[in-house]
Amino acid sequence: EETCPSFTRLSFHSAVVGTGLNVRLMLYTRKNLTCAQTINSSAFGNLNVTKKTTFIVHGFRPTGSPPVWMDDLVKGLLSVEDMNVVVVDWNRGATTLIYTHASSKTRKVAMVLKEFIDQMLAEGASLDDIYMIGVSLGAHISGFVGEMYDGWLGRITGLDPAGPLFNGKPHQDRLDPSDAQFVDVIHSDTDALGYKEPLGNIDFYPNGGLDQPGCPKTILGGFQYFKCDHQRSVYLYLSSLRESCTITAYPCDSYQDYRNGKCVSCGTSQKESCPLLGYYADNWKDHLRGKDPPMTKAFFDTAEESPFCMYHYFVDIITWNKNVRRGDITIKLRDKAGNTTESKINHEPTTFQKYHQVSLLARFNQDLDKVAAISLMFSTGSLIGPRYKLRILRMKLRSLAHPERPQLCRYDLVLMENVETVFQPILCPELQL
Amino acid sequence: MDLAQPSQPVDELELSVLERQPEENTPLNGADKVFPSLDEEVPPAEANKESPWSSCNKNVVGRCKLWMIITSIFLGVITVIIIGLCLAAVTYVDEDENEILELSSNKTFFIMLKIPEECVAEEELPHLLTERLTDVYSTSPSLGRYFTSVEIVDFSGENATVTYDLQFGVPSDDENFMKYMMSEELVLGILLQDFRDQNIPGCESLGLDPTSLLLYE
Repeated sequence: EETCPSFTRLSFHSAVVGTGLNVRLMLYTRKNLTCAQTINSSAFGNLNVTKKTTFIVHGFRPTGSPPVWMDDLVKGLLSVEDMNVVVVDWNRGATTLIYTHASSKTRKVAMVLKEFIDQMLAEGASLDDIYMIGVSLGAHISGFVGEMYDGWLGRITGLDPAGPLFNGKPHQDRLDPSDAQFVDVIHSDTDALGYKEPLGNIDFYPNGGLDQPGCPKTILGGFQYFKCDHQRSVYLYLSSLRESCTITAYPCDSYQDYRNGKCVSCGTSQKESCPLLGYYADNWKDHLRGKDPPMTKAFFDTAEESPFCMYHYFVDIITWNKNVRRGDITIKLRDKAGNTTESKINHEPTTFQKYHQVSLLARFNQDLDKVAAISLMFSTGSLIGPRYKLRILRMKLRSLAHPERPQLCRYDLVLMENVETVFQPILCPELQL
Repeated sequence: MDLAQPSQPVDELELSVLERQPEENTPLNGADKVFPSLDEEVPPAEANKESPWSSCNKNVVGRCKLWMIITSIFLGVITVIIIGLCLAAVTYVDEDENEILELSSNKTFFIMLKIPEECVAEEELPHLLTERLTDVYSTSPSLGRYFTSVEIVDFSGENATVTYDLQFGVPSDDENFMKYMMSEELVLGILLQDFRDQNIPGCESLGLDPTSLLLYE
């Protein structure tokens, strides 16, 4: 073809009328990075069966417009590896106002993909090299494909797999860990459009899998209110294809345990690394061999915007108040250049007891290499009543991502409630309490 | 001519007299209107008798009415609550600041300071340091109440070092107290950060090198 085929562009009118299913496969490679080739079971174009092939499967399209993230995802994948990228364009079929109509076509899409992959295998491709990235309904489509290959597909990544009509279904009716050799899932909207329970070998729950920072909290925020949380999973995956920073997740039993700092060690030794979110999640595959079933949940927090990275520190506090104090701690860091970053540790009140060390997990938007000043604020949330004081014997700040950094200490602080106390930290002396 | 002029005032007087008569009519009209209104007042009086809220307007004590008493009680309760909360905030006694201690034992630490090159010749330095150490530990929120004294125990010109002993009064038989409050880390840390926060004039680098400050017991 002389002109480059593009993703099917439909209109709201098409959504109202509904669309019949028509699956188009569009191939991108480093040879044709910006101009797709339409391929099918009998025409492979530039597809090299000896290379890895990644399929991108989108989900429900209530307005018929092409996914805004598709081009970025294609370019991102081709930038990290020389591979075939196949965009599965089932916009005809996915475009409808009635969600049940779209979800009822998922198995048919999977069948079309199976026919294509069968032909690839006949031409010499290997199932190990087949990678499917499914968004929302596309995640379950990927699961159906993998199921038809008895789980020998190389890898499936589910980006917030669709919840409605799939929550509570048995494993053969949805994406599940046995659908591929490695299944990783990002849950970013478990209280609305996403699937709630774990679906993969490793399930990532950014910010607990609920409301994502930077997304509108009420309908007054506009149309983004409905899709921002759900769509965030795609952007989090995209951030892993760029090299600016990596998002580390922490395997944990619950989000609350993660926020309480109970899950920052990912192995018997300190050197064992935690799973990374996104494209490189399968590096953690070997850690799951010993588990039965080989499933784990991992939690982490994100910033409000791309690249979404957060930097984790521990704040260890020993107090000497005679009576128990309960409240939240807000901590700010500042470097010599004047950059500041803040963390509020307020997911639940912290209990401070005399001579007990409390370790609080603090998360910052910026990673300051050399901290010149720290400020702490203690607040109980009560508007009336006496102003309590938190008497601190020692405060210690230690980086989680860079444990080799020197730990910073401050001794003998008295925090007045709701008053910010600024101080210069010193290197913690070798002597330890 | 003179006779003509008096006749004109007479005419004016007559005119004014005629004008006054209509003014007298007006009150009569008003009086007429008053009577119908009095008649109209009778039905409202009957309505007042039937109104369920009439009891609120009855005098209970003197000129006070029932609604006044109820409102006063309500406002009074609110005022008492607010005053109570304010008093609670104001009269709160911080138990940590008013703790009565029985300091029956003693604890001694030794601090050895290496004097920087820049101020080895300063003769007043040992004395200044004595004052500095006294100030640091006596004003410490955690250790101030236990701090007793600081004295020079050794001054070596050859090694450019000065050694002090710190005396603390401590409660006996308090294991956690000795472990946490009387820890080497806390005593040393307080001094290290004080030197970092504010150096000694003419001796800026004193105490900034952690290896130049040694604490032992």
